[in-house]
Amino acid sequence: MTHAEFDFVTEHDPRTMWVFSLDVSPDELPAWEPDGADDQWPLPGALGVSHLDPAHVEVFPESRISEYGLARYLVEANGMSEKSVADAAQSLEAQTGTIVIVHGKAVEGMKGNFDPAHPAHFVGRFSERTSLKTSPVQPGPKVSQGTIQSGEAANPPDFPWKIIVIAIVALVLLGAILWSLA
Amino acid sequence: MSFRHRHLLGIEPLHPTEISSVLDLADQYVDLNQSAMKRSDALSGLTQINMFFENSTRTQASFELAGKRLGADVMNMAMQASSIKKGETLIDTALTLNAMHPDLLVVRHPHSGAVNLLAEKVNAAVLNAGDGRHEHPTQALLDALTIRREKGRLHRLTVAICGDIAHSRVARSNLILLGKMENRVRLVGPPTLMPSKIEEFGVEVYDDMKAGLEGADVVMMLRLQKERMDGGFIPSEREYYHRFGLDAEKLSYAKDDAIVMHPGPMNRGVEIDGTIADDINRSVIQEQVEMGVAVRMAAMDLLARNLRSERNANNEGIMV
Repeated sequence: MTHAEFDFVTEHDPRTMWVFSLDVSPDELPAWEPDGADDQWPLPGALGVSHLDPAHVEVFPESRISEYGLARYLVEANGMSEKSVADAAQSLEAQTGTIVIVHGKAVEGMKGNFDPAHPAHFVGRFSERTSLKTSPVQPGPKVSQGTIQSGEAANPPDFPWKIIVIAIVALVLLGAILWSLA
Repeated sequence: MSFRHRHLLGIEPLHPTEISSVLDLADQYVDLNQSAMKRSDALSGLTQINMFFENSTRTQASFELAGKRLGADVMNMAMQASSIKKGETLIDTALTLNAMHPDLLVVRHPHSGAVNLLAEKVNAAVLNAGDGRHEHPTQALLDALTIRREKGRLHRLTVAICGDIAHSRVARSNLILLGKMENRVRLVGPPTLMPSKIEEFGVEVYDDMKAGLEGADVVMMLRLQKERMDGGFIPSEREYYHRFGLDAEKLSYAKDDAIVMHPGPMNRGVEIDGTIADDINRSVIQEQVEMGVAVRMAAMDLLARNLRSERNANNEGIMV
């Protein structure tokens, strides 16, 4: 694991999900769930962040998706990249207790990083597969400088007079050659 | 009528009285389907969407017919050729569906647990039409209805489920249902097609057809699911038929009035001899198809009743 994995994403990054495990008993689980989260919600503190949008956080026992599988849940249900999930397949399969999934939108607009502490443990960070990439290069200042020309409408493409003249001359020459040979 | 579920995702969560409730109502729908009118308005005003992420002409047709006979607006979405191929995630599919406001969602999916997951994300009542190797509840219910009508009861029977148990969600749902209704369930098949720890389900396991069929009231054959096999599960189809295919000689070990079932589609000459399949005195395979429509009508009717009750309760809450 690297520090970069804990960093929040920017708006230019692909959609991201963080997976944590939570060492809590089934009796304690309701207090950690995002439904009805209030100022006393302990999850942000356990993940080392000041705030989480509960609408974009999932907390559930692994048994709830054991048939489907956590890895498949990330890839097929949520569109995370197969490669990033395959790299963490063993640790995902090993999860048996309570799972916390934090979607990027839960920390949207925030700067900083996660700093999980007991009972939360980092499992992995996963990003969406992207087929189209936007260029990270921004236009430089020179590009945006300049003058605006006065409003002449762009000319339509010229009629190809030159090609027509050349074709007529070539036909005349060809005719002359054929006539002289006859 | 006792049935208190929002979805029908499997047999596992059903109480025996709820199973009986579905079958009792299905019995009424058998009568309706055999009448001239064949129409009811139980689902009138409701929208049913059939989403099949895996091909199944028979089951989809059965659900479609069931919904139409109950007056629902039925729409089929061929998901195999649709958005899933374009990379849409299951959650996106759920959100798209919610925007369409369906009332009943019939889902078949190749992955175990996918239907349960979808049910958590959508507002409609969801019926599992088969998910991976997990469950196929309406198949088990239609098999139960067929047995109950043929044998006059659905308890204290010896039922032999034979063949490709490992790849069969039908077997799993059936053994759960038959166990709940206090029947003796035997699983018969080659060890390579038997799931590990299957004895934990309280069943008897045999790898010999004659021993497994001895004294059985019901012989349920399963399709050899070659499309789900990627290795040497069986030496050859010829060898498989010789050892585990149901023919007259092997059937003679069951009770004289034993019935023969198959969820279809059949591989004749692989898991069952064609003459046995067509024997109107023993085979109830066509009856299973008929019971399928009735059971699906009953299941959708019961879910729709619960859905309407829930919505009425919510509306009253809003009005208060």
